[in-house]
Formats: sequence, structure tokens, C-alpha cells
Amino acid sequence: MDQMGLKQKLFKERYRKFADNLQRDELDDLLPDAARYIARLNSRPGNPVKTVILTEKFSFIVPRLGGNYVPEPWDSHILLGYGVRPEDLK
Amino acid sequence: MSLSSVSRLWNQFFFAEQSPLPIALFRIIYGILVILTLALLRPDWLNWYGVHAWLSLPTALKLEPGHRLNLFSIIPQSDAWIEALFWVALASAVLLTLGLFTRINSVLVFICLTSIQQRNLYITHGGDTFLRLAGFFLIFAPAGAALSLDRVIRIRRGKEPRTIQPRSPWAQRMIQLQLSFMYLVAFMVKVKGAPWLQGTALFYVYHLDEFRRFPIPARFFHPIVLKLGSWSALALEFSLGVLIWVKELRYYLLALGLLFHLWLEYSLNIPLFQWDILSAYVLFIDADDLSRLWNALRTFCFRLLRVHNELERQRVFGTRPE
Repeated sequence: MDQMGLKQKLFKERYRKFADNLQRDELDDLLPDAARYIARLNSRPGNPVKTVILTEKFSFIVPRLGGNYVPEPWDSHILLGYGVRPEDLK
Repeated sequence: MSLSSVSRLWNQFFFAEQSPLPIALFRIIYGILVILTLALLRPDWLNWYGVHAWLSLPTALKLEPGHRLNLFSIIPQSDAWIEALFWVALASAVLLTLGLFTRINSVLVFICLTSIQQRNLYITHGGDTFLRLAGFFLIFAPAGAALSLDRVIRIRRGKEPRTIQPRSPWAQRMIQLQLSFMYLVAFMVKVKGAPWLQGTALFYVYHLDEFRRFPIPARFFHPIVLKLGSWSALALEFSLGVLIWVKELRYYLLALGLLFHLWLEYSLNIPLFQWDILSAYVLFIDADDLSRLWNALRTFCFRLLRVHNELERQRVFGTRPE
């Protein structure tokens, strides 16, 4: 989102919200649907997507003395590894 | 306080007739906001709600079981029908804004908005929820009793006098209560968390890169400013939830609330959220003050037009106005 222009941000904000919800443990059921959508989006005839891996990337926001802010290093963990079936691409 | 006086106050608050001008103006702003909401959804309509959407209908129903008002689970599962639903929602929002067949269209807008949200609850924000809840009460409000094509038609047919007739405001009161509850709940949720009480909450908010809209001046990141900002937000949300009902304080609080939301609109990218909430502020403005504001605005526009015409005449004929 932070790399988008103002107009694009306006239209795509709901993707940020959806991505936020994908990371919630109680909404794990969302993940296979999202993986199937990504598989359909990226499959080409003769070159179907076989695996989708959803990864969460995060960086902690840590206040420092005097209100300074130094970005913390990014970390990541895998939310889902999904083996795509032929019927997922229909 | 006796039981009869409580009953009298209750009736006075919910049912003492008043001008429908505020609720009619709210209807127009509300309708425009629904149109804008749909316009922002338009490019990704099928990505969110189509047969092959990010979230499938069976998963949506599994995550939120039970009986729900959701047209998507009733209509045939084809993209053509889902596209048609978009145009029905848009048409009813446009007609509601114009005030044509107001009651029917307020029902349609409510059903469409509820369906859209139920189909994918995981992309909605608080403003969407507020629009949906306000839309329910708008169904019962005299929203077409002023500033509407319905009223123009009724006047032409001799079914209604030219002066706006006072109406029962109970539905308007429910939307007002909804707004004040929303602020109060926001306050109560925030005071549960240490960052708001310690005054560090805004530090985290302003460093969420994905939310950022326009650049925030460096002085706003000073710890004292952040503390004051966090605590002021708490105080304001409490005041807008409770003290808004004190008539003497109302306009001051509305002005502060307006500034608060405009600042959030500038700094955070949550499209339409601030405007969804601000739309209900008109319901707290007295109808006489609204009329005065309207007259002042009209006079200002006429003066502006006259000055423009004079300047134009000067430019064309090269003469100064007498």
C-alpha cells in the first residue's frame, strides 16, 4: 500500500483490510480461498500454478527515547502452503 | 423525577414533531456516500463478489453461519447476476439521493448494502457498518418530506402545502443515538489499552506505513504532542458520545469533531470513513440553523455570481460598473 499512488490507494484500501484479516488465526478458513484465487490469477494455459505459499511479513514499531523512530528489521512466517488441484483453476 | 415526567421526556425526545430538513439533508449526503462507496468498489466488484472471488460464497456462509440478509446467496451464481446487483444498488442510491420513490429506494439501498457487507465482511470498515445501520433507520424516517423530487411531485399534485410540515423525528433520533454510541464505544475500547492511557497510541498509528496518506509534519511526532493528541482524541470521543446531547455544548463539539475527522482524512488512508461518520453531524444541527446556513450560502453564491457577471461585462465592453 505504501508504494501506491493516492488514487490507487483509494481504490485498493480494501485489499489492505482483507490482507489484515488473512493474518488472523480465527479466520484461517479465508486462506485456501485466497490461495485458489492467486492460483487462478497466475495460471497460464500449459503452465498452471502448482503451489501457492502465503507469507506474512512484519516489522515491530518500537518507540524510542525522544520519540525517535528507527524501523525494526522485517521478519516473516508462512501462513499457508497450498497444493493447487486442477479443479481449483476452473 | 416521576414516572409520568420520564414518559413525557421520552415522548418529547422521540416524537415531538420537528422539521424534516436535517433528515432530508442527511438522506442526500448518505445517498452520495453510498454512490461513492459503490464507485470505489466498481473496479474490483467481481474480484470481491463474483463467482470466483477472493472469498467464495460457501466460505463466507461457513464463517458467518445463520440467517442473514444476503441477496448474493439468493440470486443465481453467475457473474451476470452479480453485475446486475451492482447496477440495482447504484440506481437505488441515485434515486434515494434525488428523493424519488424515497421509501422504496431506502429499503433497496439498505438491502443492497447489507448484502454487500454480508458477502464479504472482511473488507469493510466502521464507516460501512455505520452506513448500513443508519440505512435501516432511514427506511422509517420522513427522509423524502423535504429536498426531494417526491415532495415536488406531491406539491404539483396539490397533495402537500409548500411549507415543510413538521414530522416525528424518532428515526432521526435513532441515527443520532447510533453515532453517539459509536463514539462512546470507541472511547471505551481505547481506554482498555495501555497505549491510549500512556499517550503513545498515536506514535504507532502514524508509523503504520500502509495507512499513511499525506506527510505529517515532524513536530507532530514530538512525545508531548503525541501524548496530547492521544488524550485529546479520548476526551473528544467521550464528549461526542455523551456531551453531544447537551444543547449548549453541541455546536462546539461538532466543530471539534469536524476538525478531528478532517485531520484523520488528511493523515490516514481509510477512504470515505470520515465522511460516513461526518454525514450524521447534520442530524444534530437545528432545522432553523440549517435554513439560515442555506440562505447565507445562497446569498453568498448570488453575490459571487453578480461580481462575476460585472467582471465579465467589464472584460467584454471595457466599462467599469456604475
